[in-house]
Amino acid sequence: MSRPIETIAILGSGIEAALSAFVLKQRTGLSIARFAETETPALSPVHTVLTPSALQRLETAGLGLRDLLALPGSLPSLGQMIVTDQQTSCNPFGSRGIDWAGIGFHHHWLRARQGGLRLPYAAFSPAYRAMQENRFAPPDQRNLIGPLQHESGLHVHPEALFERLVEGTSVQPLAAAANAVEADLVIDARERSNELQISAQSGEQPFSTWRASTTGWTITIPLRNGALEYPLAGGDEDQLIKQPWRGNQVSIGQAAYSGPSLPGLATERVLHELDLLVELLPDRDCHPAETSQYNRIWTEEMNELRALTTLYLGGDDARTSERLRMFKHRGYVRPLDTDLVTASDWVVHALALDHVPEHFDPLSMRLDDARLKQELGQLLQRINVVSGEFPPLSVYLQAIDKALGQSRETA
Amino acid sequence: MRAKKRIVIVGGGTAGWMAAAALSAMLPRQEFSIDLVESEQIGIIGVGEATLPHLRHLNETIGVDETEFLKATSATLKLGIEFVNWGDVGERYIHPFGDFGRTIQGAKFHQVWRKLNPDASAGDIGKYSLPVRMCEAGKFDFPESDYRAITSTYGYAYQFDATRYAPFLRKIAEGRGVRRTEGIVNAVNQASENGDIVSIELDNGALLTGDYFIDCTGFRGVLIDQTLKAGYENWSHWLPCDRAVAVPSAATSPILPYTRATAHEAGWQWRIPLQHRMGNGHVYSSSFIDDDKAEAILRANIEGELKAEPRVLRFRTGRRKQFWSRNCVSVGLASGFLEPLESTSIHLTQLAITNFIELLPVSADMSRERDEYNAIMAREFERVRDFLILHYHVTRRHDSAFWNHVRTMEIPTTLQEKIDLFSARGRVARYQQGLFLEPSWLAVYLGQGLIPAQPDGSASQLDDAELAARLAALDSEIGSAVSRMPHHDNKLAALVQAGRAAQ
Repeated sequence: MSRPIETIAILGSGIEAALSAFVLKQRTGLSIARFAETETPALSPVHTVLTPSALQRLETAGLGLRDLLALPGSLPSLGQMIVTDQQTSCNPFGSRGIDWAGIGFHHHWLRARQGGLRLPYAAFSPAYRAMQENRFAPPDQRNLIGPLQHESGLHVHPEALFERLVEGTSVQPLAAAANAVEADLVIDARERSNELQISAQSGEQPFSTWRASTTGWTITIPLRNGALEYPLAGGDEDQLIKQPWRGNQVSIGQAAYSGPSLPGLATERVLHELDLLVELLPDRDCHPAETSQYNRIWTEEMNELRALTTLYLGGDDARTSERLRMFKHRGYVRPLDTDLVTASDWVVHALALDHVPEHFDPLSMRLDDARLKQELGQLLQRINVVSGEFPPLSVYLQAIDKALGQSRETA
Repeated sequence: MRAKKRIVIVGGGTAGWMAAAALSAMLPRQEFSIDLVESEQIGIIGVGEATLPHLRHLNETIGVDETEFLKATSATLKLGIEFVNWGDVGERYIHPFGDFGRTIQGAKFHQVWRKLNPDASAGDIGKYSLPVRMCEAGKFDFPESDYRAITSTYGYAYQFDATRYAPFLRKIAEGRGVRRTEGIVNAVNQASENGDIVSIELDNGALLTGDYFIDCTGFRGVLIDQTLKAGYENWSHWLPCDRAVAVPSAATSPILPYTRATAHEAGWQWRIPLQHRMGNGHVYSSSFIDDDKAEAILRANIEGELKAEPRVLRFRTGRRKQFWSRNCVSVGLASGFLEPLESTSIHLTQLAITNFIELLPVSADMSRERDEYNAIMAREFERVRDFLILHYHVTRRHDSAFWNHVRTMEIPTTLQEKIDLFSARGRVARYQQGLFLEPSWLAVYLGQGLIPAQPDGSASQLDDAELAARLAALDSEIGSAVSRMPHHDNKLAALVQAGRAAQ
């Protein structure tokens, strides 16, 4: 006799558990109970950056940008500034340039660079200049550059996000053993918490800063009321568990893979795991074919996430070294079978870290030198016009405050 | 000034001229020269008369005018493939180039259909596919670009005379500077230090040097196999058909906008309608029936008068262990063979060409490009292979030793997992890359009678009566759209006569 899945128990005291409860409640309509191992929430600074993709996933789950912007401390973000001993580079969210002649824009940029262009790859995003000049505007398809938009993310205070997520979810103390919990499906979303250290300093900036250090990276994430800072380093416990979904138990987030991930990807991956779970969630019994499909997709996603993180942290990862070798050779990244990390993510991150390919794709030569120069010039001009119209971040924030205040009054 | 890189294509035919036309369209002329060697003494196999919608993209890239193409190759338009006698004798279904139904309140259409289907009240799922209904009505029109319209939910391909496609492309390629040399390869010269091919000598004494060689010599693999010994991975234990007997017959009317694949005792028969004739062939396993019987079965199942004597082709299903070896890339039949059950021959040729273009070496050491190319092509071949095996394995046929064998044989784990997943609750394994997407897998699973044990639950909260009403409305919407479309025959005739722009 098959048993319907009607109740889901979620174990954990942090944002990953709260996210799980929120998303699953919104998207499945099932009865959700969260069991917390501590009374105070275990909050980690890794969940401070919401990438454009994470914002979309949250929107699907019923938590829109407007709601998130209204949280205390929320600050819009255009990307990250990467600081090493050698250079400071800007890495905005979204794409750059136009893929003329069917060839990735970075090949054209590379060719122009070899011909003397001094501008970085990121300069072909409207967010580049805005990040330098502390301006912000969300993407707007109606402007001069049409589809060539940047993307925007959001910095949120983990405490504020946590509180918003737990509204309406019941929380019970977790018994000593997880198997004491009775439910049709059990989600293990227990996570390590790092202490949240909010520094009062730091002006409002629409980007996070990743500063290379001797042990890894120091991540600084500005919020409306200060900045969060935390170290990003390779861990000892970065082994993937082989089967995050076994029977009626699913491990989500750090409970499944505790290795480091780049700011933004930590939250995005949890949302991705939850989306995948919802997609494969049965209405009764967990079928081995479904759990193994989840485990297959999940393992591939985590391997790619780990490979991209290794690009920053170094270490042994065959995918990273093989892919980087190929990229540095000719700017090529194989199309990936994953959602979380894509080939274009590799291009932007590798170039942000100054891994400049030796050769460009010869197909770029379909545009002769004069034409390429002309196209790049015109493109840059349009991008600069658009980014020049971005208001200063402070002005944008005032407008947001006003809009949210008005909406609150209306409500 | 830098010296141009020289690309030498060995072998004309479909693969050779597709490569020549695509390379000459895509590569900057100031950087590359392209030579093609072929011999009029060597016939072409001319397989792959039926294609997939992806070919249109290649044609666009090459700059092919669709009307000219239809005229030159006596092509017809194709909306899918009809499979007869596959699930069991007497059954049929169409694998369309398009979707089944629409998502309803977050539930995938086939899940809704499955929910309503325990008592068969939802009927055949093909009823909710516009291209399936167009096939059944013999209608054709071009898809609309507005994604909200039901008439945007399909793609189309062509069925054409492959012996005419190569000459058509030749004209385009030569117009773009490809040099054709008549001759048969007599000798292949390799560099002593690394084994790369340096030049080829022809029977007429000509010598062609090159930086890269593209082997389009078909099954013979003159460069990739005879010279470079790239090895072959044999898949005949999964796809046991190893011969085909082919013959053209007189065209029949009306000309249908789809290919037909009819399963027989030890294989299957293709029927590909062209403007001027019908292409027919019987693919079979020589371990289960002999050539005479195969030919007799073919003759007995052809509608029109035969226009030639049947000829037998022999093949071994599988792929090159290295598609790209040294400085030589194999394209078309030289790279491997998968039976044309899903019209993938020309598509795999197209992939080989486009991937080579994407990975054109940028330095003398091409090992990274080669490894990457080989990995990508292996993945593509394996995914097509699994999809083909599915057709044989998911069957209830037990009327011959052949079907008993393929129904009960061990299949690749990668495929078994997909079947298990679908059997449970109708979920289709998800991949970002790969040729066949969810609608294709659904068509074959459901068409061959693999009905999920239960729906996935996504539609469980939805009211059956309301769902039935939505399905009825969709059925009616599709019916209405089909009724407004012209017959394929008429549309094709108008296109060929007046050109698409005038439609």
